[in-house]
Amino acid sequence: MKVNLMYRDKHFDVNSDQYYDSDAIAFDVELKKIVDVMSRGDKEIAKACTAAMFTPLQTVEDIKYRQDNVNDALKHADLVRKLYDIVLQVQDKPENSMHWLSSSSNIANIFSHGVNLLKVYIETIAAMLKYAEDNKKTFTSDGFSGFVKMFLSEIDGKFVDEAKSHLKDLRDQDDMLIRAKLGPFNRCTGYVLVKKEKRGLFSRSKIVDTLTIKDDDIAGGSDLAARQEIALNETVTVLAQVAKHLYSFFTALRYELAFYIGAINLAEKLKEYGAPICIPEMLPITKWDRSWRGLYDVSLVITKSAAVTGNELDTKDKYLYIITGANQGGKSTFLRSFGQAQLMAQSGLFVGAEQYKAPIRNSMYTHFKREEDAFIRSGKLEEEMARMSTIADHITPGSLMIFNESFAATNEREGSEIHRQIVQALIENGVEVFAVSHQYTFAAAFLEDKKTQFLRAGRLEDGARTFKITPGVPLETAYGEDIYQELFVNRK
Amino acid sequence: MFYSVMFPSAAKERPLETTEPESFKDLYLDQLINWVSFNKKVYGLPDFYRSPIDDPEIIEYRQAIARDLESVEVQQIFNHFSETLFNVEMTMSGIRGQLAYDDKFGIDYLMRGRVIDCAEWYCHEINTLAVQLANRSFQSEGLRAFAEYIKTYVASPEFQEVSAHSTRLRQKLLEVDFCLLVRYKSVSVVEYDGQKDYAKLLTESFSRFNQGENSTYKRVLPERASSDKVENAILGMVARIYKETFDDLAVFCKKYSDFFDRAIIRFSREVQFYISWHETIKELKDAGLPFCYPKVTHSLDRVYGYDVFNMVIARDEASKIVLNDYELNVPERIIVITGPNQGGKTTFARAFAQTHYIGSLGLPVPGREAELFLFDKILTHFGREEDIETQNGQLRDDLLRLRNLLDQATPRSLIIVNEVFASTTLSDAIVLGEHMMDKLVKLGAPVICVTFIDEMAQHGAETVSMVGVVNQEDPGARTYKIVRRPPDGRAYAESIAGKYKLTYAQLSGRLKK
Repeated sequence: MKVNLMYRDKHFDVNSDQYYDSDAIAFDVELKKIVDVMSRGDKEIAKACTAAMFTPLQTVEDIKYRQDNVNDALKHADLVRKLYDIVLQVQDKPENSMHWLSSSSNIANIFSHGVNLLKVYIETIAAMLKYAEDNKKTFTSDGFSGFVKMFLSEIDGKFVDEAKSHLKDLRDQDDMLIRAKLGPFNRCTGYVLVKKEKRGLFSRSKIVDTLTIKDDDIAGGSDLAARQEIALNETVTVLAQVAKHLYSFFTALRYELAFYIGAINLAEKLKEYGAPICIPEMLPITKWDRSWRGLYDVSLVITKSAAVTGNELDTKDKYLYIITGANQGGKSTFLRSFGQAQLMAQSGLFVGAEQYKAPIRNSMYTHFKREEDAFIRSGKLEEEMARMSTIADHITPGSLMIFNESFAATNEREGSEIHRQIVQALIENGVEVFAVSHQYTFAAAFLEDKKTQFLRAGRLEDGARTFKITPGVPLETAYGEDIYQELFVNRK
Repeated sequence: MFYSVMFPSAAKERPLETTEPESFKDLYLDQLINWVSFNKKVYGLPDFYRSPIDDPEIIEYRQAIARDLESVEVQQIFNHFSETLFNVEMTMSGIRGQLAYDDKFGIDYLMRGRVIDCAEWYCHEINTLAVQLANRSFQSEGLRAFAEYIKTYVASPEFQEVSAHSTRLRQKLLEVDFCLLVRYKSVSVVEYDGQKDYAKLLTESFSRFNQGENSTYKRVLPERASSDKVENAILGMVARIYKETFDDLAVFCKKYSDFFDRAIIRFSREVQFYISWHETIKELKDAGLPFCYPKVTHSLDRVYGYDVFNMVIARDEASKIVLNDYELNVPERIIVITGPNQGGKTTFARAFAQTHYIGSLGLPVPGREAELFLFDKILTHFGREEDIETQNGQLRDDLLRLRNLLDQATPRSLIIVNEVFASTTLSDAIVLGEHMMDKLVKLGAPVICVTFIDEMAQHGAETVSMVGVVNQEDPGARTYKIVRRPPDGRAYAESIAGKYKLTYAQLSGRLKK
């Protein structure tokens, strides 16, 4: 029984940590605020959504599958929540941790614990069976309708009844019938608890002989107890196995649903703030075109509890984007909005924009200037270089690299040259680069490059900031000539 | 006729050392021995490793065996064989004494069970080994003789008989199948009659929920001694269902209580000497580090080791290890190493000693090629941490230890002197260093001397100067390379991008990987 709500035919692994330094990337693009809104305090939702965003889907088909499910979930938000609640009933039960297995209480306790847990699971399965029967025709997406169909084909009333009857038998274990063989040292081994068929079994003919332990034979008494324990332990092993199967199924279901609950929560919040969302159009990894309208920083909207100005772009066949311009002009906000959109889009989510079209990328890396002033200047540059070098160990062609005022912890000539060499090597090797930079020398080195898109943070004639990022080549602010003039030509 | 894989004959055998000389700690030989024997404690391997040999004939006998055992397949064959036989022998030697009393106080079915277990293991291992060795040819005299010995032994009627009997009996025991009806104070043996298994019933119902993860949750019960009395009583009842099988077991135990071959048992311990070494150096070899079979000599005309390294350092940092060369041509016999701190000087000195020591055991040594001097003992003098309080006391202690070393030394001793006189003034150190060098030259033994006193490196024709190299591009980083040249040292700054391999060319190269 596979859940398959996240992939058409694959398990969704919330613990896969394949992404290099996802914490730093989440920090750089302020993903935490978004995830907080998605999870509404449910840690598992946060975990599932973060895992989904850091396991970027790699094909248009995979993304389409998930986008359809997201749409379906947004349409039937209440029903998806109801299913999640059913699952939570069993997931939140205290018995439902595998701790009972490793606990030090005696084996008989553990055994009855296991039996009780199975009972709870069976009740939940019965509730889900009803839910599935009620919603045979509700969903239209392949994911949700497929799940309901799968469940109905695997589970029926007969299954539930049979399972209940096994559990009833298992509770009665005052005398046990244990099948055994001879093993090393001629000791009894291979214990298997077998069903006591009443018919004929206890008749004299089948019993070879009986050893009765005398009351003062302590070793003998504890020997018999130990044999019962071994046989119970074997059965506990199986109970645990069964519980683990059920646990793994419900855990998988919980995490896969959690992603869609997160999507519902976020969509509702953004709607409340009047911020638009759209399902993005994703292009294959071989494409180099990008276009968007009204792309905004979702975390900023959450902070302000209100919609904010978005940005527009429409480019074809570019591999390098250099963003220059005024301080506080919205460059970092722009990088964040773009980084968020890429992560959200490749997880199959909607993005914070009116329209968004972008190519799929292997993975995304960020190299943002760190604010700590603890470093002395040279130490800071070394820290940045070390961080870049680690990224270089991981990054592959087809990836996306975002720089925010990198390599500026030295003079411009040196910093620009370091920056230029790194960026040049990246774009020539199939890495798409976005770079916010103050270094004119660095930016100017790409002025003749047809595949570079220059963007600039706007400023009005009077110096007021527009917070808009628009196409525009870097401006070289030349104070030198002024000062020369002032000091030598127009000396006062 | 096969005798042992450690010594070619009884006449050549010599007693094993059971203690470690002081020098072991200084040279990391204690760590090396601990490392090599760590996973094979039961075999008592340290005694073999503590017993260097100075007879070229024994060393060559062992080297040939070590070469044959380089084949992973051969290693696996003998390792498995040795482990099993060694265990069986330990178990069986415990049983032999008790077996005489079997039947005196009621039947001990459990002990009888152990006898058939041991016999079966023993026969199975030897039969398997005989088959595995049948089409294999060895280069070494030692393994050829052993293979021949096994072949003859397996064909012998005594072995054939016990082997066939144990197989027959085990088959019958495996067919025993019954049920226990366990109640609060009684246990009954019940014939098995197709009763259904709960585990199967549950698994069939619920396996549909499996998400592809199949770890088992076997809870390990705390060890609770079962009562041998109850076990025997149960077996007595089972014996009534399977009478013929249990009668045969009794016969078997009477006949075969002691039939293990002593030479084979001895082999099963000794072969672990070679296997433990090969297993230990495997990870280093896999990391690209070289090992070789050295030539061994009693002369100091020419002693050399190329691409040698300190094994204990390599264990922790195999990828970073630096290979070094040493070479002494007559009249050279004293290497003086100078250079920056933390530059690998002492590591080099240890590598020199380790190669010589390992070579004397008859094993492959770290290095690409080597010719090693057969020493009578290894003597070391390692300076202690500097301590102002006891400065005078320490200098005195240094000199006392040096005198003690020279008293014990012969022209055939290997001497390692490390950072001696570190706690005194430079002028004192120079004068004392001269004196020490004069004595060492006169002694005529091979010496490695690590020091900060450049003057010692130019003492005379017997002295070779070696220097720890500074990385010209990154003076902060140590190269651990030690080369033969007069004492010196220099540092150069270098572009930061280069340091992090982020120049255009370097990064392009990295991205193309």
